[in-house]
Order: sequence, then C-alpha cells, then structure tokens
Amino acid sequence: MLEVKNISKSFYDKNVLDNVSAIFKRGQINLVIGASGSGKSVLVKCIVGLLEVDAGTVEFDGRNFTTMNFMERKLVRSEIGMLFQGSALFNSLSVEENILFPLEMYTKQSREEMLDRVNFCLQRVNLENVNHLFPAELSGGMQKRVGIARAIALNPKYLFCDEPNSGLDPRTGILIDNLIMEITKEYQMTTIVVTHDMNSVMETGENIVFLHKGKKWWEGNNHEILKTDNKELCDFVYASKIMQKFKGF
Amino acid sequence: MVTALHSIGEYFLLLSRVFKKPDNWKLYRRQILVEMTTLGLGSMGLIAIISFFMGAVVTIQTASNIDSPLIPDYAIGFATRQSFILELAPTVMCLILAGKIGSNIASEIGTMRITEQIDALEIMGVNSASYLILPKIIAALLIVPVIIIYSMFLGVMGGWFVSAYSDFTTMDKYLLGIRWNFTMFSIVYALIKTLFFAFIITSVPAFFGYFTRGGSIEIGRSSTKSVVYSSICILIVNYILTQLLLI
Repeated sequence: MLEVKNISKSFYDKNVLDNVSAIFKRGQINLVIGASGSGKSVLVKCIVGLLEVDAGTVEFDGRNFTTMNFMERKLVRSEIGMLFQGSALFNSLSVEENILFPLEMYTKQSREEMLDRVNFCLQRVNLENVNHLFPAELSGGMQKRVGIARAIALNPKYLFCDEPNSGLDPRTGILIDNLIMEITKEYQMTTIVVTHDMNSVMETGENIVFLHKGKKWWEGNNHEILKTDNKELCDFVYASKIMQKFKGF
Repeated sequence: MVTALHSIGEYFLLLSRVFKKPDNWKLYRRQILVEMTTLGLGSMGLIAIISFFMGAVVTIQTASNIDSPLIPDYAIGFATRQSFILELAPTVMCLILAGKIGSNIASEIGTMRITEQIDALEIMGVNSASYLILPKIIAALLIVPVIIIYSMFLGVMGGWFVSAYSDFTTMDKYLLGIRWNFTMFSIVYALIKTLFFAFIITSVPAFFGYFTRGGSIEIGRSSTKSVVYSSICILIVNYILTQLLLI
C-alpha cells in the first residue's frame, strides 16, 4: 500500500498540488485523472522522489519516503518500476540491453540468468524476436511494452505509469491497459496510473483519484464515476459530445 | 552576474555528484570504452586532415615570411614544430574538439533529459550525473592526449610534405629544424594543458546538456552554449597554464 498525506508542491508562486491525500491499494489499478495542468504528473513525480514535496509525506508500506536519505531511497527505488509517457527507453541500447540495465545494476545474477529474465519479461508483454532491435526501430505500442518489460524486470512492488496509452490508437491503448492490469494482479503490485483517457478510466479504474487545480476533488471507482454529480468531474468525463449523448445531456 | 554565479555553483554541485562512488564499476568500464570509441576514434579523421594541412600551411607561411639571411633555414622546421607542439595541437585542436565532441555531448544528454531517460535512470536509483558524465570525462582524459600526440605528429608531417614536394625549404633543413633544441618538457607541457582541456570539453557540455529544459529548440541552444563556454574556458585556462608552466 502507498499513502500520500497532505502533499503540497508549488513552483515559484504557482501552487500545483494543494494538500493532496490519498491511499493507493496493493493489487489494484489506482488511477490519477484530471485535465492537463491539474497536477497529475507532478503528484507521481513527488511520490517517486523526482520532485521534492514542499509539505506532506509519502509512505511506501509505512516507510516514510520523504524523510529518507539517498541510500534509503535507493533501496525503495529498487522496488519501483516506472513506465514513462514517451517510454524513455535508452536510445543507444537495444531492447535486450534496456531490460538488462536494471538487472546488471542491481543483481549479481549470471549473464544466462539475466538473459532468461529478459526473455521472460519480453514474453510477458507479448513481444518476441525484438531483443536486438533498437527503440527507434519499434512502433509506439512496442516501445510501451518494452517499457513495461523493463519496469517489471526487477519484480517491483510498485508500478507507476505516466499516461501509458498516450500517442497510441485506442485498440493498442486498451491492450496496454489490460497488460498493466494483468501484471498488477499477477504480481500483486501497487499500481498508479496517470491518465486522462476515458477508455482507460472505464476499463481499469478500480480506484480513481480526480485532481482539479491541484486539489483532490473526487475519489471513487469506474462505476461510481458515471453516477457522480460532481460538476468539475462531469465536465471532465463528459467533455466529448458522444459522452454527453451517452449521459443524456 | 547573479545568474553566472548561480550557473557556476550548479556546475560544481553537478561535479560533486559526478565524482561520487559509482554503483557498478563493470557498467562504467564498458561505458568508458564506448565513449573512448565515440569521442576518440570518431574525431581521428577530422583531426588528421586539419593537422596535416595546418602543418603544411604553417611551414609555407614561415618560409615565405623569413627573408633575413641572419635567420637559418632550419628555423622553418623549428617554428613548425614549436608552434604545433606548444599551441596548435593542444589548444587549437581542443577548440575544434570542443565544437565536435562538446555539441555531441550536450545534445546527447539534453535529448536524454527531455525524453525522460534521465528520470528513468533516477527512478532506478542510479546516480544519473555520475553514470552519464563520469565515463565521458575519464574517456576524454585517456583518449584526447592520444589524439593530440597524433595531431602533433601529423602537423610536423604536413611540414615535411611541403619540404619534400615544394621549393620553400629542403627536406634536410626541415628535418634538422624539427630536431633542433628539442626538449621533452614541450610535450609534457602540451599534455598537461590537454588534460585540463579534455576535462573542460566534456564537463562543460555535459553540464549544459544535463540542465536542458523544454524541447528540441533548447537542445540546440544548450549545444551552442556548450561550445561557446567550453571554448572560452579553454582560452582562459590556456592563458593561466601558460603563465604557470612557462615562468
């Protein structure tokens, strides 16, 4: 379980996160949704320590991440996998080397054991025979899958996904969502997905945190979101004409 | 002024992160070899062409400007050797490398920054500054002196080519000139300067690349800034070292 308590973050005089608290449970997909500029990505970057919070705490299974020193954080980070919006694969390394990277950095396994793990992770994300290709030679969907394979290489307890299906067609986007969902259940990870894609919300939203202007505005699941009368959330969910028609506006 | 001081402070803070104990030497060793190939071998052709023709031109210029009968003919070879070993090879070649290697490093690290590859390293608990910059600095400290010695040799060879295939001087007098009053300290002096310059042409562009913010336009700006500032640093350090070493 991952808990954020009263997190605030501002850049100069702009308050990006304002006293946000939430609990993200293990073994389920936790979605952070909101319009562009609502603070979703900043929240995730604060949780993983890429940005320092101004106030509040982040607890990974009761361990206070905000007060940890570099070495203690490093230990927690070895339990974290992250899929970035643009996949963030290392361009100069092949697919195999990308997934090998965390294994070489943190394990003392033999080369054969590491390669077995690489192949297992690639198979898990339904990719085969791409070991020696470079990221530039892969499609967007394949890059995301390699990103997931790299993120799960060290068997993480916590998985963070920043807009995993941005730039993908709806079908591939749903495939990626389903893959994240399957992996989360299979490895009982605490998964946090930042998205503004309504397909993802409806498909995988077991616990949804809606951010608006840096504040937590609403929390619920994909069934409750359709019944809500929260104005800001309705403006977000029913932004398209087809969704308005669906709602009966 | 405040911005400049702030940047200098950031540069030294970055260096303090770069020189922290590496997480995994095995990965660093491999990276150093890769960087030596990229930074070193990739520059050999350019340096060879520039050095050879510059050596030839220095010889022709010296020969055509010496018309006093009091100056011996072997002074042409001597002047070519001295100018190449003391200044042209270490300083001018490093300025050229600052353009080639520097822009390469700044754009590579800058691209990694804006495509979140550096964030990915940080999430994995890797000291990204050390992993990305230290191998480049070590590789440059190892390979740039080799490039500079190679440049010295080719510069002198350029002069020899002129002496062999033109009427500006004779080969005997040129060969006498390049051996006349030679002291090993000239090479040591050039290599000391080279080590400082090698550090500058990797660390300054790495700094600009590492702190790139925004998109592709900013990568271009970082790349340009890195070349400008590393060139300025080389010239200032060259002046200081020349004062200190040749007192």
